Amino acid sequence: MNFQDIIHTLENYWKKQGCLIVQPYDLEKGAGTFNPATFFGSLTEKPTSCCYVEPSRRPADGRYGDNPNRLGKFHQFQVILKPAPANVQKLYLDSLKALDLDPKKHDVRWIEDDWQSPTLGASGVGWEVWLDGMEITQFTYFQIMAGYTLKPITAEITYGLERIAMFSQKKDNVFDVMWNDTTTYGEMVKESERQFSHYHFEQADIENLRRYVAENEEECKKLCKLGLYLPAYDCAMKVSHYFNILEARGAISVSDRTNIITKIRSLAKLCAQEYVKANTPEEKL
Amino acid sequence: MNKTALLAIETEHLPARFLFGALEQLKNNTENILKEHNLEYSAVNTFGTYRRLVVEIKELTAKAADIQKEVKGPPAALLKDKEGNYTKQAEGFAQKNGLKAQDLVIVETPKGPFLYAKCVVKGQETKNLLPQIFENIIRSLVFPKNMVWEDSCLHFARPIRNIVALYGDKLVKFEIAGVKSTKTSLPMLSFGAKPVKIDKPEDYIPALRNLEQPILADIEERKQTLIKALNSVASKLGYQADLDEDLINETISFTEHPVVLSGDMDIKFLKLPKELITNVFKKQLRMFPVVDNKGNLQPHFLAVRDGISVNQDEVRHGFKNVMTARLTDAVFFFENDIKTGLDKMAEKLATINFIDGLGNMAQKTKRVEELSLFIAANQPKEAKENIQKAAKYCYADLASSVVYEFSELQGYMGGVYAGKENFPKDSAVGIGEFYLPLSASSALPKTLCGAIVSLAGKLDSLSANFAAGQVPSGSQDPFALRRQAMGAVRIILDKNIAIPLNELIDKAIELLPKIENSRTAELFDFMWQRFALLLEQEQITPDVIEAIKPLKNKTLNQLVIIAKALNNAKNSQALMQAAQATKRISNILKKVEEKTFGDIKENLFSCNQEKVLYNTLKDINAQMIGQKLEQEKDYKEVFNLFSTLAGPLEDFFKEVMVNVPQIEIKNNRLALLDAIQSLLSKQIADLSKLQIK
Repeated sequence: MNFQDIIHTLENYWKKQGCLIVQPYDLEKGAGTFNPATFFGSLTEKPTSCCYVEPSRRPADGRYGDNPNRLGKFHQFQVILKPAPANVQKLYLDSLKALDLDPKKHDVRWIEDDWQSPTLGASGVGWEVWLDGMEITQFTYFQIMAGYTLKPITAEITYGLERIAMFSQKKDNVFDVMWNDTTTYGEMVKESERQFSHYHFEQADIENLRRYVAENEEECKKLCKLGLYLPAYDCAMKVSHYFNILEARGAISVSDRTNIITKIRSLAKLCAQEYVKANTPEEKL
Repeated sequence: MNKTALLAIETEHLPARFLFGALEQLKNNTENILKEHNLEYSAVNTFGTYRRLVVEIKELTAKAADIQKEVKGPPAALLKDKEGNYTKQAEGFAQKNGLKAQDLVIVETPKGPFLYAKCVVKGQETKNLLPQIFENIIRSLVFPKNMVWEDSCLHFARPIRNIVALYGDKLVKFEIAGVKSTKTSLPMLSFGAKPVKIDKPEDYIPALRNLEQPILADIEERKQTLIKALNSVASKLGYQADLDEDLINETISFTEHPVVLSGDMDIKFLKLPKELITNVFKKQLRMFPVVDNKGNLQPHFLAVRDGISVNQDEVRHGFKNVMTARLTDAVFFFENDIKTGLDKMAEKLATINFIDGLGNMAQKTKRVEELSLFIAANQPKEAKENIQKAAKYCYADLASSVVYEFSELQGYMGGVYAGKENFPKDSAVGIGEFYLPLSASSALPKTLCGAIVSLAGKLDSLSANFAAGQVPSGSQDPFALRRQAMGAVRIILDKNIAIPLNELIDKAIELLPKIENSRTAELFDFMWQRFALLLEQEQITPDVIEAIKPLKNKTLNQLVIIAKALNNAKNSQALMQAAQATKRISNILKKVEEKTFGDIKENLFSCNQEKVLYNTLKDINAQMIGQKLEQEKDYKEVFNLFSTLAGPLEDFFKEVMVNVPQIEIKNNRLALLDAIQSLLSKQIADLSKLQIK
């Protein structure tokens, strides 16, 4: 199945399960979990179910487009279900079937993998799912987000779209994956991988990045004080992204790293507090 | 009638590492809870898979045992009123306990006579107790990590999705975490079949085994099936499976029905070091390596999948791809490391922090090098050079790509790279042995080179952690310092390192940067405790171990000899008599605050007893000078020699007063006693510590 059909198939499948199809959030982020629909969506009691493609940027993972398995930017397909339905594992397996990956014909292994994000102050319990030995999905029951103990519990399913496409198309090189029936993944992204690797590893201006981090941190705090948690959260995401570039650029020492992570976590917490304040009935606050 | 009861807690995929612990708890907790309810049974068995924790209670009684109960009531005076009728209080109390007033008895208590109701509490019927019992069993399970997933917020390892609860052929009805108990069990998730009817407890295992996609719920059955399949598939290839016990246990913990697939591995991967391939197989892929009868790796793999598939070739293909990708990574890392070379790796250690305030790994390496040379001071030149070379590179592989990916290969990879770079054989082997021993009783470095550098590394890690205040307490030992201390002591003994323990420690501390709030003063005792453990294993008694502790100028091997000699000499009456007297010396000296007595002045002796004592001591000292102190029998002689002090000491204490008003004489006598104590604690053993029968 080609790359774009995989996306459409997953969207169709989850649409039938009642999911709202949300569009990718238009800011750089390291993983789908940063999407406001996930971050804020898991916080309050209000039920939610939605799904979306989320381009995810990991500057340090870029390899100039030379490594058949490594990308600085890849695509996750994320499903958020709150409260987590009792048949959620089966729903997931049926989605694989929809992708022509019949679990009866493959070995599906659920390997313990408890996700956590120190930057978001978040953690969960779950698995990575292996299909014939290849990891294709991260499956998590969120337990804590931005320091809040969650109730009800959200299930988050994160498909690694490139991995699934490689598996489905039996390709050893991600750039050989067919995006549609005539265009390859490589044609679509290789140049971008090359240019962004140069930027992230060599050209990014360290002083500027540090300034962006400081400015966005200030802005985030200011906006939170005004109850404008949505733009505030954008600023927090930007801090996180600039931090990732600084790290790829080799400009972060061990103690630096801990400090900035702590900083981002406290920003995420500020935004979450404002969101919870605004979205919880008064008598429950 | 006794019937079997069964509780199957069916969950989403439990982490493989939880399974054995959970089943053990399930058994113990079930037994305890049945006991609380006075329920008799013949056996409690547990079994299960990553999706089902099952407990079976054999021949569970239909009814809890009756209990004799005595309930204290009002004072005995309240039994009857003046007219001789039972009082309201007495009747009420009796009724409350299901008795008539005339059945009450009077019991004398320390507070006077009281009314008692002696009654039998009828045991309840098991079928009425079981719902609560099953619920309690589920709630009693604790996992290494728990989660919540539904409204009642039950803590469990993974969500519970079904419960089979039976007593005989009857459903035990209850509900927990939103799940109602049933008489059906869940089949394998991937095969999406309908729930399986379980009519009675005895059917659980066979009903699942007989499915089109069989589930082997019994652990032992699953294990034997796996081993048999591994052996049979490997023998078809003409070889054997590397049946790693841990991997087998892990594999049966993530499969309900292990099915073995074999496939080929490109022969080019065999140029990788064996341990590296084995690690990729076991730790990353959970596959079993294939070996010949000499243990040499063969270009095949054995993978295990869960259940039978109509699509085995495609699954095999998938596994092979993943294996190839992982091994290709390993080749890339390995070749990269060889290109980098140990020199560059050693340089990179400067960027790896060790402990805050105690430098980076390059600085640690430098210290280990100096400490190794200190320990190796008396070795021949060539050996010393080899040791120095091993020390220089002992940590280098921490900066290698392979060890970054597979931390358990530290040391081993360094040894491999040193071999490739044509290091002297001793140095290369020594680097490979650097982290040995890996546990309290596992193999020690074989070469002297490996032993010395390993010892130096451990002494540096121990002193550095103590300097940073990271001292183990209770069960907290995150840096495995107890293991390292035990390793260091074992190496010292094994290679007869001729430097006393405290000198080794002092040297290690001296090499460290100065740091505030250091706790290195505690290190000697910490290491001594490990040494004491080994001595106790040799049947040396604790008092003997205390007695030899002050002999700081002795090597550990000498101390072992002294301890054994002293352990045996404890039967000698003369020595024990002397030991008894030394307790008095020790007590007298303990009370003296200023321990500056000056030299012993013979002209100040006024009593004959002190002269005799002094002369005997002089004799002993003189004889000790030429004394060979190598074997147990040498120390036996020393003890005999010291025993000659027994008589003079006894006379001394009988006739001589130490605390006399003349300060000079008093100090002179104290000096004499101090000389004896000092001889003991420097040369012989602190006999005052001995327990005398």
